[in-house]
Amino acid sequence: MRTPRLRTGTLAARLARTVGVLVVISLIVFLALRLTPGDPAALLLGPQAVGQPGYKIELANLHRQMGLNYPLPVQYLIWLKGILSGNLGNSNQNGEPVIRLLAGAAPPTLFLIGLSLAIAIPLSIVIGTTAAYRPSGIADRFVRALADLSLATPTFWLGLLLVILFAVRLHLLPATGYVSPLVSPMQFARSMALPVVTVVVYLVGVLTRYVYAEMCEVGAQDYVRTARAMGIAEPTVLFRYALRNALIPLIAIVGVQFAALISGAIVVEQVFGLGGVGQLMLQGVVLKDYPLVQGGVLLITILVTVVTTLADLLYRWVDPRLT
Amino acid sequence: MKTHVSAIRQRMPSLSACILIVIGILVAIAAIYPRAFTSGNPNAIDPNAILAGPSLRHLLGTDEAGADIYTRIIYGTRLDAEISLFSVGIAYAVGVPLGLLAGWWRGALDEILSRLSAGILAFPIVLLALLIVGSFGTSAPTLIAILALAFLPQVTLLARAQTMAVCARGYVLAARATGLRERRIITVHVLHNITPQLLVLSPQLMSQAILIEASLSYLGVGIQPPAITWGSLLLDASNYYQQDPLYAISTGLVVTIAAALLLVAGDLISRWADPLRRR
Repeated sequence: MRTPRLRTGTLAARLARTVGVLVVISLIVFLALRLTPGDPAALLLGPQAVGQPGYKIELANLHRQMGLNYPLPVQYLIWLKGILSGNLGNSNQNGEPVIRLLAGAAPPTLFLIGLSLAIAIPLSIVIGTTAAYRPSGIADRFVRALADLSLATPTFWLGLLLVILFAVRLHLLPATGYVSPLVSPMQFARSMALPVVTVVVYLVGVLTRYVYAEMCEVGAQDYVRTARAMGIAEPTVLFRYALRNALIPLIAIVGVQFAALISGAIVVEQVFGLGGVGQLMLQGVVLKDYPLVQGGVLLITILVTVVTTLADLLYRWVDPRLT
Repeated sequence: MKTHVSAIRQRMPSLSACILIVIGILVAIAAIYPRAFTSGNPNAIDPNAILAGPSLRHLLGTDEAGADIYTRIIYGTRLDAEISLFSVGIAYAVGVPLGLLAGWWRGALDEILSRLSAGILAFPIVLLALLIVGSFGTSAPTLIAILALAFLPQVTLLARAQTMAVCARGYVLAARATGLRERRIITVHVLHNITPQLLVLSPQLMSQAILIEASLSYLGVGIQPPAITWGSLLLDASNYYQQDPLYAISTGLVVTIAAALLLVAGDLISRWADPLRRR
């Protein structure tokens, strides 16, 4: 009988570490944009306002309004206090709350990530297991070469190739744009098909390597040999005995790869003009919209940390050998 | 006799390793002295050939201004090589000592470094780049700094884990028992034994550097023209993929092949680093 052996001590230690990581993240985000040349208030007023009567007063007012007149540590604490109360500040461009802008842009990005994971995980399990069935066989070499190739291919370029083939040449799918599933499920599927395929190819490349390595390792374990010696059918050995144990580390891998997955999604959504979080942030960088960029990076990085921590806890809970 | 031959064979670099070394030398020549491969000028424009297809004059065709794409690819090699070499080099120069010390001394230093590493690793690299580029603008040194920062935790954590593994080995305990100075044990016994494992990561990181450079260029936050990188060519190409798909295909292939070759090099090094896997 297996009992969940996640002792409260380990849990508390893990959570304390996560909080430490979050503090590091918040400091990096805050400092990166504050220690920069260029005044966001001046940018907001625009270059044509320089030298106009009353420009200096207006600038000073704006500084006060944006809280830029305080020393850095105070600015950080004010910012942190706002975040802890769920307020990421307002966009410099149109005064809208950052959190609302991000929430508005979130669906395409979340759909892209969720759908890609839902397809890539089972796919990489099947491919990795097949390759590990006969190490050094043809399937094995082929799969490993393909996995390497998918890791070496720039994701946005793959997206571009798919657009050239399926949109420009064959006119089968739209090249860009996003349609909400609430508006038209069919159009949604068509608009997401190419972006999801692009991310899936990348993800399968990453995950297959791990499944493959795990399966090779598990395949050499005593209990697998015993199962084979007992005359249990090979598919049962493979899927019942080996695979189940090989899958446990995959939980942790998906957690670790989550940050890279978001990077990929940001670039891919730009290729297909999905208008997601990535494109919003890119605008924010160009316009020096501090609150938007800070809020977005912070929120996404916190999300990554939470996912990684959850994956790690789940991993330890599923595998009692680790404590 | 047979074992004798296979022992010799083990010490010889394999055929694939030889091919990779030759390619590496060719790439180095292209980076240092591009004229060895092309007599053209990467910025010379031919108004009569705009987005033209491949021809004898222009092996891979021309771009939207009529410049020769093949020549531009060759001239782009230098910046890509510099970016990948320097970013990985800096990450190693800083990360290996940090990881060694953290793994050797453990304690508070280890805790702080681990937290910092986890904090940096939680940033999707494109977001980290957006954050820094938004602050400091785009230039080769900025890009190298971003990549070095992103690679640093990976190198540090690897060096730390390897150090801890080696420290539990008998020869390190023996070295300690003989009363050797700490510095000597760390440099001679520990560092020397973890070097192969550390090197395995470097080509992988270099291939990542090339891919990330391309991604950031594509997002418009990479190195700006007139500097030529493979990523900037790919950005140009992606703007004209409807008129000239071949431009996008050829420039993308260059990046893919470079990244793939580096991954293969990583595989070869890992086989070399792990004698049990040498076959």
